[in-house]
Amino acid sequence: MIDLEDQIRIVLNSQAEAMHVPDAVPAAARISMDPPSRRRREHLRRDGLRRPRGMALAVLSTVLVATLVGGLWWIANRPALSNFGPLPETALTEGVGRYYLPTGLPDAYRVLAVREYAGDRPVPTAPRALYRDSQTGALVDLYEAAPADRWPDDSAGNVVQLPSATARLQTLGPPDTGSETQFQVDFGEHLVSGITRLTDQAALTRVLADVRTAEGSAPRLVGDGYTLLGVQQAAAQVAAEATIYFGPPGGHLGADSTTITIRRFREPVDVALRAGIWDESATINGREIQLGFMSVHPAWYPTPLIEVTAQAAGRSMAAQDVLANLVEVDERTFADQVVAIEAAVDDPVVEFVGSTSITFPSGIEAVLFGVEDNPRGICLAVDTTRRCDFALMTNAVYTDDGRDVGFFDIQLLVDQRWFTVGLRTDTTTFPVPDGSEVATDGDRTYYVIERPADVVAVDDAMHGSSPRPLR
Amino acid sequence: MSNDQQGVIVPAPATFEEFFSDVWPRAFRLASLLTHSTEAGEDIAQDVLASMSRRWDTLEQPAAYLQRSLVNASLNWNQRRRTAFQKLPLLVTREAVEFEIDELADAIARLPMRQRTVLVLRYYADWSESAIADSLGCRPGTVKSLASRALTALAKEIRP
Repeated sequence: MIDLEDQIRIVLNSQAEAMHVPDAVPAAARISMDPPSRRRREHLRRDGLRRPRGMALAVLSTVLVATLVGGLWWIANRPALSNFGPLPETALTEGVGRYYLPTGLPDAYRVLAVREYAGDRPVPTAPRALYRDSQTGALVDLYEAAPADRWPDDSAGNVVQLPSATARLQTLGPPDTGSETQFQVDFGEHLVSGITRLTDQAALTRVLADVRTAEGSAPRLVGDGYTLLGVQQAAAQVAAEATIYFGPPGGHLGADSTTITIRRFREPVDVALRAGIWDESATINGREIQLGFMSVHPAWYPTPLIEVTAQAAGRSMAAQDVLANLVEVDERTFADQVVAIEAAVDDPVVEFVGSTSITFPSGIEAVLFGVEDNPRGICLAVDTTRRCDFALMTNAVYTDDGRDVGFFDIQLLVDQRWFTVGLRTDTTTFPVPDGSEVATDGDRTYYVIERPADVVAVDDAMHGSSPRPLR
Repeated sequence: MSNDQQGVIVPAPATFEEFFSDVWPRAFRLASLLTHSTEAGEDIAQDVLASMSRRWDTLEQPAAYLQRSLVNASLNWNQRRRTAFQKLPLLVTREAVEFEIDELADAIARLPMRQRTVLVLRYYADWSESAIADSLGCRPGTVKSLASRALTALAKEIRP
């Protein structure tokens, strides 16, 4: 009989041996540039024309990635497709307009948090073209990049000298779950960026040699054998977005959670273009589900204006099945779910160990609920109304030693008034917003402020938004 | 710790490229086990090594720096809950190990991050208690306590 400690050794070593270790050679070449992390790839896909702006953007990305995963890139102002039918009229103030709740989740799951945003800032993006290469069947996504986004000369793992341009490319992602190749074709005055699932060097070289720029419109692939599937001409817009977190109260969201994000666009989207190079779908429960980036962030389009994406972790059902089993609810039912979040304080699945209460000068009280040293949620009490968010982890940034939360901003709708409550441990780099009420605890500065547009505005090309009292 | 451990201890390398080649597989595996995600493990290992490459000339003990950075970055990642939990593939058959390996793997995955980190560093990387304590920034006694609580929880889960 093997004792428990040996069993643990066997399990851990078996898991380690079973891992496919990504090739170190391209990784070594890549680390001379910005770390080619998945986060970076998500950023490039989401925000290809903009350059990261240091730590501030990184912190803001922490907030955004929770709602943007899936490698979404933008489709803009595409003419309405003929099969989309008449467009529903929905005012911005009505939020996403459609609300969905999952069925079949584990019994212990509750709504842990709801985050809503209204996209109120137009975002300039470059036209993008999506082609299919008939020789390989691969999709190729092209757009003209800003000069500032040119990769450093010493960063490229592979450089291909073309007759009239220099191309740099790097293939990312483990082969067993799917790879993608990002590339830049540098024409001097013009820089074309792109992405494809092609990994074969010869095929890539052929495609890159056929890239051409087009003044004022999307880059092109010239020659026979390419089919233009569509061009997104201008900035697409998210009118409103709501993200709903489900999981066992007090539990680990990384191990047990389901997240649904509903986005409403100002104009209908072309699903095929929005899926981009990750063009795979499955029909489940009569619904066509786009399987999405590496098949882990599926999306469903109940109408051309509405996109619903799901993430699932741990023991909840697969994300595509979550989408296939969503039920639409009215706004009142949805609002009731939000109010019910507070009940998790008294009914956690994992008991909250420890709490911190912060009272601001006006009497507003914030309470952080933790498990050991990891806070899991926060409640904000204004007058006699209290609202809570138990998905704090999706928003928080931890201190360098990884042992404590050092930064978060949480927006809560309390009695029809949006408040932002936050924490800073480095107020020099990340000052609290002007006009905030502040309470300090050692080097920890807590603040609360009502609807500060300059604070809650998210510096992101896709969202550029602030919460609104949508409910 | 010795060089044959599965952590990332290596002799002092001459160049970063040599260091990278030597530690990459182990850094990836260790970060993946700590986060229970190969995607996160790859990201973390690359981020840490990329950061080290920029500071290579100033690092006196790169292996130790790497160890601690991997642990810290993994703890950070886990606490941020930014990446979905993914169950890793298992190659060992049940017949070979006399227990429900899936059950144990799942139980390990459900442990609190610091308890799981202690188990991974102790039973996979073969680190000493003092080395684990150093990486976690706590006392060796705390490591003992975390390990004890983890083992108790696992025993309770797989032997009800």
